[in-house]
This record gives sequence, structure tokens and C-alpha cells, in this order.
Amino acid sequence: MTEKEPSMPILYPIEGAAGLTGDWRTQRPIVDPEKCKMCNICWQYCPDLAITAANKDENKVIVFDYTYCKGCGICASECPFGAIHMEKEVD
Amino acid sequence: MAEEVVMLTGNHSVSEAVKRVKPDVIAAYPITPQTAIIEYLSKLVDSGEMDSHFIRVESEHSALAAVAGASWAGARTFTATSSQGLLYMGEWVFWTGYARLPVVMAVVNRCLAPGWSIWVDLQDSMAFRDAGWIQIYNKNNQEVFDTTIQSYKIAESKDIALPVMPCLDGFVLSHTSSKVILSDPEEVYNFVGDYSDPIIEIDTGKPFAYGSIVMPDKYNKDRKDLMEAMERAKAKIKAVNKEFSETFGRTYGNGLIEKYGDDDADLTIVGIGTMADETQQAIDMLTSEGLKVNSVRVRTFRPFPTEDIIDIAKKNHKLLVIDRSVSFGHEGHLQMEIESVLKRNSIDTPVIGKVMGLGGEDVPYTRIAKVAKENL
Amino acid sequence: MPTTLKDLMNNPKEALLKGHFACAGCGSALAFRHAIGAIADKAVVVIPACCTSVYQGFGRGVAFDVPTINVAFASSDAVAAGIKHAMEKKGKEAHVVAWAGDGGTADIGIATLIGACDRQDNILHIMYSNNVYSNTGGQRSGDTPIGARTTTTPFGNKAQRKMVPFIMMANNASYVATASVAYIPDLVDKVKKAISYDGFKFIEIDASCPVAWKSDSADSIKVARLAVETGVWPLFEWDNKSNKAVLSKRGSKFRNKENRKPIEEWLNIQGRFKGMSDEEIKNLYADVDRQWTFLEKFLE
Repeated sequence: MTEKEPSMPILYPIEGAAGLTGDWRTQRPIVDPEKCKMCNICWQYCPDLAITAANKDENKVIVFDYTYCKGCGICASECPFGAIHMEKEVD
Repeated sequence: MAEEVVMLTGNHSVSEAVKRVKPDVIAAYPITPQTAIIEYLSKLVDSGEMDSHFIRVESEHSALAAVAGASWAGARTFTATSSQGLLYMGEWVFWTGYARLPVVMAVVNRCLAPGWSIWVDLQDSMAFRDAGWIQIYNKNNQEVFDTTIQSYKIAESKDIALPVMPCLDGFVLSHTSSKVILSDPEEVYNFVGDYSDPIIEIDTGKPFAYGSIVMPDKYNKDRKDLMEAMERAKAKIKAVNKEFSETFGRTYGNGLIEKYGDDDADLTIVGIGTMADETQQAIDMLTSEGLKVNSVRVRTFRPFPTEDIIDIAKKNHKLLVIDRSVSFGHEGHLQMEIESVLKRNSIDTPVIGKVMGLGGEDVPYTRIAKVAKENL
Repeated sequence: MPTTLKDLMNNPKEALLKGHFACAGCGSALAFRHAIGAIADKAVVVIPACCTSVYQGFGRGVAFDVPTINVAFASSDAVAAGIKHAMEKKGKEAHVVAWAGDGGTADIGIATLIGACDRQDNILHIMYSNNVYSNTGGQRSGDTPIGARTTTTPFGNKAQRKMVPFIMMANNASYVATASVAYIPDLVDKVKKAISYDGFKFIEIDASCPVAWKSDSADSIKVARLAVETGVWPLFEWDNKSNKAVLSKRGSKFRNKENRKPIEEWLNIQGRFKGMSDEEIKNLYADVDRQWTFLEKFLE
């Protein structure tokens, strides 16, 4: 009899477990670099971790990860400075 | 502490075995006739005689859920239940079997309501014969002690990884004292071994998700593996029975079945649990009357001892199967399995079925002998 | 020191990975990201049947970077207790969290929840409430507010909301708190505080569900914030040593009714409340008052 590990429903962590969820998007967030105050409130509220935080020291505004952003629009809605707007996706 | 010879109930025989295998976590909920098992263990834990965590859960559903949790975390575990309690934890009985967790749960067989009754039949555990658990039915308190120990060695083998249900008849064993040899604790522990290399273990440094959504191909792969593990378990149970016999000098047939009397009988009485033990007295009586009869006790109902049943049916002339549980709309569970085995293997040895002893109905050997004579 | 946005950004490990299966604008996923993220290095998560059993993903891998055990509906706390006991026995440190929805907590799971609380099992139960059985398509749960149109209350839920935090206070949990996805640092503070207590801890998070609430996914934070600002969702924490409740900084001014926005503002941005009668609105106000009246007994 050979030693045999049982076959179990085990999965390991990966990015993109549900695939490239950016494909779900019907609208995309666009940041206006002039208006972005790099407060990162949008980063905090993103359920999809699809925002790379702004960096004041390096003067870098937020960046969207369109590979995974589902286009929910929370960032645009919560931005205190009106620096994000949503645009309809066109193929 | 060496070996002890004591008068002991079946329930405390379970407890004494569990004490010796040193589970990390025990969770249990009271139900007659099982309760004495966990009362005894809780005393051992609280007095410091056992170094286990005892979780006094609020239901049987949580009892099995908690030991399953502990088992996922790589712990050796124990729980016990009976009857309605087993039914109430039903969701987790399947979950634990399918999850391949090496949980050991003693089931003290008791019939199901209504009406309220606390006496034995096997309807409770038989209802879970499809849940992916190994089921071992016992004939006396010594076997209860020994099987409980063996259960851990079987369950925790990596090539098996299945929960085991040692079953004992309510009251007939659970509450009746008889002579039991309690083997030396250290020898028992050494026989089972520690559980330091678990089948599965939660580690915060190595994240994994268990039981997320699976697609049909993976689902079927896991179930097929469970089926194969059950098949492998036959050899494992036999090997553990043999090793146990070599270590402690006690043996139970080949581990899967126990034969009594000579082959080539006109009638073979096949049974399970204590009724099969009582049958041996009937065989003695009938043999002394010059009749050619023998008997077989099915010890392991899951996995089912298919090959042994084939062998018995080929070597004898007629089978009388006595069941203590029944599938309403069909027939006794043991009879069902045996007929299926014979049919599948084109063996035409006649099989007669008899359901007896439901709800604790007393079935003395004289009655078994009478039924045997009627069917000779 | 209270958690700041900067602290969140310096968190060494994420619990939730990109590309999970939650719907756009999911409050539960956001709550998971930060609540479990706050303790990601030592967290073990037990998940009964709920949206989280689905949105963790499937097939090639999962989006949770913490040990995750998926279990039967009514048993998250029992499993969590078993895991915690086993890990303690083996000398391993872990924050074992039962992460369950409102159905798995307030309804089918409540006996298990209270059982673990009775025993003071050293675990944290986080109830993320979207006030409905979202995963099965939006049926009424015990935590559904009065007036909500669900698939099993198509003409409006009449039953009062089951306030599980109060049940846990009565049952002597070591720590009880409410939180909201609108106030993330407050939520993280509460999770961190909870794990500093021995025994059984409980947090309920108001977690928006754009699908069941029939709200715009972009409004997920807004609607949660309005629940606090209208008094519908009091933000507080309580522990059994003091037997005192403290309103959270961000929600304290809403103790005074005059500071509250009309509940209608919360109702009007959610399709689930469309068509509520005046009587239903009156009953909802009364149910909110009932919660505050209860809570007042524990406030300084």
C-alpha cells in the first residue's frame, strides 16, 4: 500500500481568483491629476484593491488598476475634491 | 501503570480507550445512553488526569463542528453521540466524512423516536452509512475498548484519512459491566502513535482555503478518492487488527468479519453487533443438536466486507441475515448489502432476511435458534 | 492612538487579494479587506454559507491570503472554537475569526453564536450585515429593517430588526461593537481592540449590498454613512468589565435626535424601500427609537 495524500478541496491564494475582473466594468474611473490632492480616501474605500495609493512625497497621484477595477464608482462618489469621474466603457 | 483487569461498562470502556490515546480536543453534548462516556472524560480532563481541551458545546451539531475544526487545525479529536443526537449532527457527519478529517466518534446505538425509547437498534448509525465514515460494530466491552484504540490508528493513516465511528449497542453494552482488560496506557499510546504529522493543519504562515466552491471535475475527483480510501481501508483495518493482536493478544476475526463454527454449513447466520454475539450461543445449541450451522459477525459495515461475504456464500449453502435496522420500503440494511454483493458476483446462495430487535426488543439465543430451525 | 488612513496604508499584509468574485461596490468585501487585513498575519477565518463563501473565488485559487475554512451554515463559531482550542493546545498563536453574514449569525447560527459566547471561547465573531440573505437572492433575515422589500417580503418587512449586538451584551460577551464600512479606521480600531480581549468578542458591521439594497454601487459608502447619520445604525462599543457602552467618535453626535438626518434620506437612495407607506416609515422610526432606548441604558 502506498502512502497517499487525500484529495481535498484546498485552494491557495492567488491574484485574480475570479479572473480579470476589469472585464466586468461598464464604466471606468478617470482621475484628474490637477484636482487629486493625494488624500487616498478613494484607496481606502476601494473594495477591489484596484487603486495604487497616491504618494505626496513623490508627487504621484492615484493610479487605477484597470485589470481588476470593476467600475463600481465608489472612488468617484467619495472623492472630496471631485477629482475622479466615471466614463462609459467603449470596446 | 500496567495492564488492569476490571469490570467495566461499554461507555467507560470507550472513555478508558480515549484517555489512553490522548486527544487534544474533545467536544460533546449529552444524550442517553452515550452521556457516561463524556461525563467520565470531562472528569479526567478537569482533574488534570487528561491533558485535553474539553468543549462543552450547546448541541450535537456544534459537537462535531468543533471537533472538525480542531481536526482541521491538526488536532487529535474525540466526540460521542447516540440516536437523535447523531441525526441532529447529520449535516456535520457528511461534512466530516467528505472533508477527510480523521475524527473518532463513538456512537452508542439507540433507536429513533417517536415514541420515545432509549433502547438499542442500529437505525441511527445505519442512516449514516453513506457519509464517508468507517463504521465498526462491536460485540462486547473488551472489543469496544480495543476498537476505539484501533479507530485512531485507522483514521489517522495518511493513506486512509477517514473518520471512524466505533459503534456499541445501547445499554446492552453501554450500561452493562463485564470483564475488560485495560491495556497499559503507554503501550496503547505507542500502538496508536502521536499525531504530530497531521493529515491537514492550519498554519497562519501558510494560508490555504478549504472547501471553497468546486467545479464538478474536482468534486468528483475528491469523491472518487474517498471511495478508493474506503476500499484501501479494508486492508488497513485487517492490518491494524493483526498488529493489535500481536501487541495485545486480542483479535476480532480478520478485522472485517468474525466467523464462528465450521464451513460447509447448511445455514449461516449473518448478523451485526451484540445480536451476532448472541447468535454464537444459538450455533452452539444447534450444533449440539447435530445441525450443520455456523455464523458470521459483520464487524465493519463501512467499508463493507464484500470479498469475505463472497467467500462465505461460496463455502456455505444458505444465509440467514439478521438485521437490527431496516430500510423502510425495502429490507434490512445488512440483507440489502449481502444480496447486492451476491447478485453482482453471480452467486446464487439463497439469502433469507429477518429484522429483529428493533427498539431494544430482547432477542435471546433461543429465539435466534428457533428462527434458524424454521429456515433450515 | 486611533488608526489613521496612513496606518492603513502601512499595513504590511493584505488579507484580500485583487480579482475576487464580489459584486462591484460590495460592502462585505471592503469590510473583509480592512477588518481581516488588520490582523492578517495571525488570522484564521471560518466562513459559513454566505456571500463570502462565493466571492473568495474558486477554480484556480482564492482571493484570501489568510487560512480560510468554509463550513456549514449554522456552525461557524463551533468550528472556530474547535480551531482555537486546537491551536492553543498546540501552542500556536492565532486570531480565529468567525466571519458570517446576518443569516448565519442572527438566524440559523444564533444558537452556535450564543453557545460560544457562553463558554467565552477565545474567538472573534464578525457579523457583516447586509440585512438580507443576499447570497440566495435577497430573502428576509432577522436583521432586515422594517419596510424593506425583499424577495420573501415583497410588500415590505413588518418584523422588528433583531439587534444581535444587544443579545451578545446580555449574554456577557467580553467585547461588543458595531461598525460601518463608511468609517474604516473606526472599524479597524474595533477589530484590533476586540482581539486584545480574552474570551468571546462580537462585532457587527453594516455592510452595503448594492444588489439587495437596489442602490447604486457608487453609493455603497454614502448609504452606510447615512445609516449612521440618520440614527438607523448606532456606532458603539461595549465591554463586560465596565458594562458601559461608548458611542464611537464618528457617530456620537447622532445620540441627539436633533443632529440626525431624516431616515427618509437613507431610504430614498435604496430601491428596497421604494413604496413604503407612512405607517411603515412610522414603524421604522419606532424601531430605531427602540434601539436607542435600549442603548441609552448603557451610555454615560
